[in-house]
Amino acid sequence: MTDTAVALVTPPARRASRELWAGAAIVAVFIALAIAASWFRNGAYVAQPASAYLPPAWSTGGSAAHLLGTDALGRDVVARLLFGIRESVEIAAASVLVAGAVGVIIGVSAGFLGGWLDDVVMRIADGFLAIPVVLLAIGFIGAAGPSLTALIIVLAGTQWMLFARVARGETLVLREQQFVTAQRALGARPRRILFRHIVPHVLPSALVVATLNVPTVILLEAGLDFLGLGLQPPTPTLGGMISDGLTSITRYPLLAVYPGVALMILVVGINMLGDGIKAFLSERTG
Amino acid sequence: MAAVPITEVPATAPSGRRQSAARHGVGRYFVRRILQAIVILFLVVTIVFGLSHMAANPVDILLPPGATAQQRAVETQLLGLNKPLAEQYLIFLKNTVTGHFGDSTLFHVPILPLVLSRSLATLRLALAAMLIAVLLGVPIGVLLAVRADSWLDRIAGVVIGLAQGVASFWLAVILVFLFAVRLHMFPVLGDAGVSSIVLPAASLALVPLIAIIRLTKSSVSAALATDYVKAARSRGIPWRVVVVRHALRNSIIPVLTYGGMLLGQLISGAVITEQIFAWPGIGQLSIFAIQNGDYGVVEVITMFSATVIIVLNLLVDLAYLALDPRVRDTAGERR
Amino acid sequence: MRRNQKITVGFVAVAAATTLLAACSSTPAPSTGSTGSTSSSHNGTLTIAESTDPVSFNPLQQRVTSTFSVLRNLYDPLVDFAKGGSDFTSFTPVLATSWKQINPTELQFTLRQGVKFDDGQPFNAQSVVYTVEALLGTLPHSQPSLAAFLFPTLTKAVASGPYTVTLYTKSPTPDFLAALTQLLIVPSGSATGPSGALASHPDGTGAYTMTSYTPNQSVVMTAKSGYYLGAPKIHKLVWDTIASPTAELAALLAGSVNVVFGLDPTQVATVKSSGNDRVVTIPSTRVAALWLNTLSVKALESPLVRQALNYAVDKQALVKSTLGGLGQVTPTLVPSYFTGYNSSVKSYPYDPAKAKALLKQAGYPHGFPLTIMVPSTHYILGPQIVQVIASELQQVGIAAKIDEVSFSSFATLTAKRQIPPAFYGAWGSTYPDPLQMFQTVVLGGTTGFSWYNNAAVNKLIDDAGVASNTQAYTSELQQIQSDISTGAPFVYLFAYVDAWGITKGLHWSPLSTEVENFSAASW
Repeated sequence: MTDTAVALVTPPARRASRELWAGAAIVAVFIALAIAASWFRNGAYVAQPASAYLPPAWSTGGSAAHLLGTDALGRDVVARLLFGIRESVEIAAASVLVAGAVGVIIGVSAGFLGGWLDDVVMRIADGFLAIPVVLLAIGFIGAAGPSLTALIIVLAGTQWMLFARVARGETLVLREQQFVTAQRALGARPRRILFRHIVPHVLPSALVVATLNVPTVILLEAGLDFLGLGLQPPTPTLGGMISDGLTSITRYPLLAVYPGVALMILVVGINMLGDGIKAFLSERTG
Repeated sequence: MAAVPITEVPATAPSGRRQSAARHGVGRYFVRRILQAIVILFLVVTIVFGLSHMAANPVDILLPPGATAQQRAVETQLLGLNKPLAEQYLIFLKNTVTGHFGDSTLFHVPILPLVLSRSLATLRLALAAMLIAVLLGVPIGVLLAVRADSWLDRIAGVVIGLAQGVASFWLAVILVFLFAVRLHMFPVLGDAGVSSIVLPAASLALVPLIAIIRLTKSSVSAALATDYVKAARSRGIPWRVVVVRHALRNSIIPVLTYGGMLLGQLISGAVITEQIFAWPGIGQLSIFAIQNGDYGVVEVITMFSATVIIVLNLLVDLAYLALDPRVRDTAGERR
Repeated sequence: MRRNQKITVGFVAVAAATTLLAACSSTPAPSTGSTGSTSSSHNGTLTIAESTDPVSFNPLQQRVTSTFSVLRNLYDPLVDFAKGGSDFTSFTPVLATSWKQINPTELQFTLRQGVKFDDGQPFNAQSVVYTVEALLGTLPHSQPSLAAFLFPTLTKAVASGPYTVTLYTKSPTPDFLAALTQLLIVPSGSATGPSGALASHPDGTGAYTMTSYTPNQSVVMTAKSGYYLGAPKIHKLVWDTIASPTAELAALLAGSVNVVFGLDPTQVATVKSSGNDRVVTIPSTRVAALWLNTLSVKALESPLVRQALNYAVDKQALVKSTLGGLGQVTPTLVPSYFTGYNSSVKSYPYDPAKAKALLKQAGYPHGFPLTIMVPSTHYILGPQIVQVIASELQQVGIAAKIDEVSFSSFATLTAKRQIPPAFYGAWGSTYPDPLQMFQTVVLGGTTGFSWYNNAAVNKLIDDAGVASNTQAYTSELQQIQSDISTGAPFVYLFAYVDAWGITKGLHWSPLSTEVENFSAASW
């Protein structure tokens, strides 16, 4: 064994698990924060214009009651951040779940059944892929009106193709493998083969795609909130807070900074977790 | 504005088709790809039609806001909105193919020329962003590949990791504050000369920049690990020559592959960027249109963008044959 | 080495191409003075920021104040308010040189001679007759235009000579001349209807002529050197469409825009501390309130409930904190300087305890759900104000929910009369007299903008509409205010005080009606 080979074998195991734990820690913290939001309900929703634009607690004029100050309507920034984090995580998780379920089912069916159905489905996926995501969102939500359902439909509708492709690819391989051809020879019905043998093997890849997809959806959803197409005020959203911050950027720039930092750390944490899981899983099977 | 994991870079032409090019000949591949592009275009039109009908009553979204009951009756007749769905679809298809999109209810000018003229501004913005991403990204990627596992690489890894969490619209807001409000270095409004493209292009360039750095780094690293390169180094050929002549060549293919998918992301990001910087492109136009109830404009912009993306992907796929006719695996796609 | 060179050449080519593309901007930079204020002539150009394009260039097919502002520079009415539009008690001749009230329902005008429209057509009595017919929809195959609601009693115009025309009303109308300041004259035979040519190609007698329109970007107009009231001193007007308030502010500070309407409190502070710009605040005729659907929402049918809503909202705090002082609390819908203002009608004080008691008395001890619609643009700080109101309503037990919509949805829904139980609106009267506002938002029935129907108030409004002397008129207006204060079909809020950001050196004053007429402005 050369030095390079040794180097290639040992460090990855350690590196992956460090990344995995760090990512998991960050994600756990954020989930805890999201749950903790409930204690601050009033702070996020009750508008008290008389105490608008209070500075953070450590500046002159700040108070301990509002750790990071208040926004344009006197609402506590910390409370809104926490609710925004909760909303980001919940919606992204729900959308990815829907996109994953739909995508895996479509992808597995296309891969297993093959033929013209496979072609048609994949061309439809290409069609969706060709439309820029934000334009699709503007079109759909602009027509349907902003609502939680419309938001999840749009988010899932722009991400299912990823899952479909991966699921289809995996299915194509699995289809030719021995245990599947054996089942067919035994006369097992296609649906049974699909669900008992193929889908379970596709799920790990789908899980990896899902974990790596959540940050994308979080940022996309924040962008839609920023544009006013996502959740509507007074529901606190991180994207909405950035948009509000932009209007008072000349005098109170920090209000636009906090939500962006929260987004960044959340996304980085999930990315690390996702990379860690991927490395962990590929080690196991590789 | 989305974080793009590099493992998922599906070209619209998976490797299977490139195999078929090798097997059946370049000519047939040509024709097949063009036919497929046409099919996808047709599907895009169908999707846009389906979405607008699924989302709302077209009578509501295609009429000028505040229209009286009588005006609604007239316009419904004109646009054929009271016909059965299938017939409406055929009318829509026919209008799209012939380019008859009618007038914008908001601006009272024909929609297609309006969209086409505004798309130039978006094109300039996208090109500028790509330029920044490539001019910065490729050298940095190469540098990181050459200096892999050094302290520079580790720090860069951290920075890139953090940068993936930066929403491009947040970056735009920060840039607005720093450079336009505090430092007065760049204008913040619209399209008034070369300097006004800097900030919007910079914020739009973030996502492609990160992707190109990672792509370049990984492909250059792979190339540097090959025996061919090691042999060249052992013969004493300097790093610069080795890198540029052998490693860089290999990275063009993945970047090109990514480029096709990139345009869609750039247009998506441009929508928000144009909104923040009041850049007069089709992104800002689409937001303005939807805020003012001019749905027809949004439909046309969507279909136009998709068309550009499909055509560009087609050109990229065909360019592969010129660049590298051997069968190549696209990352992340199994055979 | 060749491949290396190819790549380098490729990069350089792309770089050069892009730089070239970026350098050729598709629109010329607004040609006002540079960032310094020393170039006081500003090249004879004035740049005004608007948040949307004009909705139409046909003055008869729009009813948006900002559009009217643009069109007022391209078209003329018969008469206008004196002193550049600020004196609402007397009128100055514009396209009409003199007028005579022949009898209470006939007003005869002598028209100015030698005036031409942009396309060369002469202005004469036939133009006025055509304008009125197009407005009212009495031409064959036409319907009443969008602006028709401003002239509810106008029936027809009859020419009795090439430059004499008489306007007929179906009943005596005390504010008829004031209303006519809103009637912009269009050429005979010019296309009408929303899709006519006039919608995109204006053709008027105004001080300026439009030279270019770039949708969603700018409208450019140049002065008519032979304008019959004297050529404007500012040669070119550029109306830039800037959708984002932050961009508007930045443009004003940078000097690329000279007039910005509707600064919010944080922006006012920034503009005041800049050296080149000044802030002008002027009470607006625009009055904000929450419209309550008293016709079809059960809870809102009770006056006690509506009074409770008024007690639950702290209007003083709203004006002081959310508006930063840029507002004046109004007891009903009438600002203090309007004709017929009733000073003995007081505003509802902030009393949440009383609100809860009234709700209990009305049979809603646990409140009720209330959705409030608000357009996200168009009304300054509208969404923020509604958020504060909703929060205060929740404190007294009402489950208030906010439905923020685009302004176009707002316009469509209110036009279709498909509204939620309440919505935030701000009515801008075209002159400081409440009658037209009462006729549109209070007078009962299913027309216009009213969701209230009270027989006694309706009678008062109808009587005021035909009042024969000022005393009767004023006392009727005052009685209306007293009645609607008790009946409370609205949650009364405030009248806006508009904050304008204006580049120093511009000699021009804004009006309370928000109309921007620059024919007399100068640097």
